[in-house]
Amino acid sequence: MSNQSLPNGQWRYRLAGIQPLIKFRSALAFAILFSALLVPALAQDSPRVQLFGGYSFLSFNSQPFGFTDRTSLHGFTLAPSYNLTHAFGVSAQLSSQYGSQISVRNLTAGPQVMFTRGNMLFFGHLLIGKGRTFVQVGEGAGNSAKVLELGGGIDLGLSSHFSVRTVQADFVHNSFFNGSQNSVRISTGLVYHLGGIKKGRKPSLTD
Amino acid sequence: MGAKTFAGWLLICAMLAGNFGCSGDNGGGGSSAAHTAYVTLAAGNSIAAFQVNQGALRAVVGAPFSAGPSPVSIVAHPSGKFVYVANAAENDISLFNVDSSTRELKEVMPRTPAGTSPNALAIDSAGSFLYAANRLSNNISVYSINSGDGTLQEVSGSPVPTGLAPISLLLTPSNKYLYVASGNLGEVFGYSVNSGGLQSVPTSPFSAGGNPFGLAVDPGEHFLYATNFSEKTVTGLSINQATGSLSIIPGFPVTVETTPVAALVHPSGKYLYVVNLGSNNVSAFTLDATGLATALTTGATTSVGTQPLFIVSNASGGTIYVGNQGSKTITQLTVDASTGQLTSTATTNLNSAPSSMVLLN
Repeated sequence: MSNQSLPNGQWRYRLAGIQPLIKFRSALAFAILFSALLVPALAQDSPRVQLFGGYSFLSFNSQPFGFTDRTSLHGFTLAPSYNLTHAFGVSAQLSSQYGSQISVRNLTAGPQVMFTRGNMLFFGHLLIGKGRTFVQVGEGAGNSAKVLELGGGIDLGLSSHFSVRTVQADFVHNSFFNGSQNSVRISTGLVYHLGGIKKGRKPSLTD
Repeated sequence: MGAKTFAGWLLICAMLAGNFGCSGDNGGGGSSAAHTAYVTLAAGNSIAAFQVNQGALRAVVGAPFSAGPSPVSIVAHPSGKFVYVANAAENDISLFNVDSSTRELKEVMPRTPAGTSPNALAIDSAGSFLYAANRLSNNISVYSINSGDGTLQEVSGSPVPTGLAPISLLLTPSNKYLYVASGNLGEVFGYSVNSGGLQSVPTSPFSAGGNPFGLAVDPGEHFLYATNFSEKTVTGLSINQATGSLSIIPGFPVTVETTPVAALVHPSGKYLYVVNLGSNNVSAFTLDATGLATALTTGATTSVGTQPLFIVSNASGGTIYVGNQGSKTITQLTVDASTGQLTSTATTNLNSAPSSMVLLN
């Protein structure tokens, strides 16, 4: 994903100037506002391959486990993606969060859709897979169950190979211990990307 | 993909996150209405834990929690921070801290010695004193409770002698009187309570008209009811408000079914329920102003599991739980507030026979 509106250096300069103002809780609002201010750009390349890694926060619905409130967990998310067209690809995601009494790990894969504007890439995905939790209550109890993740995010291009994932928000549905847990996960970090697919180009495996 | 399509996608995500992801009541129950139920499993040396949401029981992940040998009776401190369990096979009492976040019970060692085979506990509404009926040493142990850490300290004068084989004990809501059922003697022993100290009430013990096993009192503590396990009857006794002395209410005993072992007066004071261990059901009565019990014309008995042993009500009286030793289950019953009729609504399986239960807000 290259930036065609302004040279990369100018974008980095502008970002550096406003970074102190960015709060984690307002990252999503900032990203949306920022994208709205962009001058409509020409059609952009989408990356062929994306490798995301970063921090993630999970507001886990632990009440079905018997907890009196939701539990805040912290950890990481790793997500490689391979895009077949300018707007469609497949993605896998390994996400693991930890707390003093609960850990949750989800491994999922599924389709991804995206579009670019300026040096920003917007994406959404629907992923399914398997999750694993361990609850450190009593003598401890673990369980594995299906998981569904539905979410999306915004990548902001930094250079020809790197973007910053300003925010990725996922609705996460687990069914641990024959129950139902609906949680929200927020992730942020760096994306390394390779290759490019121009808008309108037919799928090719030779890119 | 255009911006509009993508915006639609994000909107769907946001709606799902808002409707489901932030809801705390999707299978788990909101914390505002949540209670916890703890059930002692005597044969399993453990305590099962459930979150209670609109009456329904759902197992707490990680439970059951380890307990002492043969836990047979459980009470909760009014603060909700501590739980006490009588270990009949080890002649002592366990203190558990309640984890307010996970509902886990964490035992605090060492255990506090009691008499021989403690099998019934009672705690006062202020959480200042704990009482234990010791079935094989024929006495009552009395402990003061440290409000800070919940630890027990046996008070001077404890244990207090009582009748042969005290099988149950009941502290009145005002904490003024303590009654002990001695089935072998066919009597109920009464004590006035003063700062944890027990003083026999005038003319105690009192005949219960049979072999009393379970005891129940009305919220106004005018009447005491004793189930007579070998006579298939229940006896109502009037409580002298000034002295605590008991006298059988004319018209009692009334007939119930086989082996009545536990009783409960509905929090409204309008209904009496008697658990019949031998006939696997619960008898229901209406209570009049004189304390007299009349069997319901419809729903006089309600089937539960096999060998029901105890009965517990939630604070509102809308839901009642019966523990069944034979079927290793808890039967959940809803109460028709206008008629007192019980309806079985759910059964919760346990991995061991339940011996007692407490509800914690």
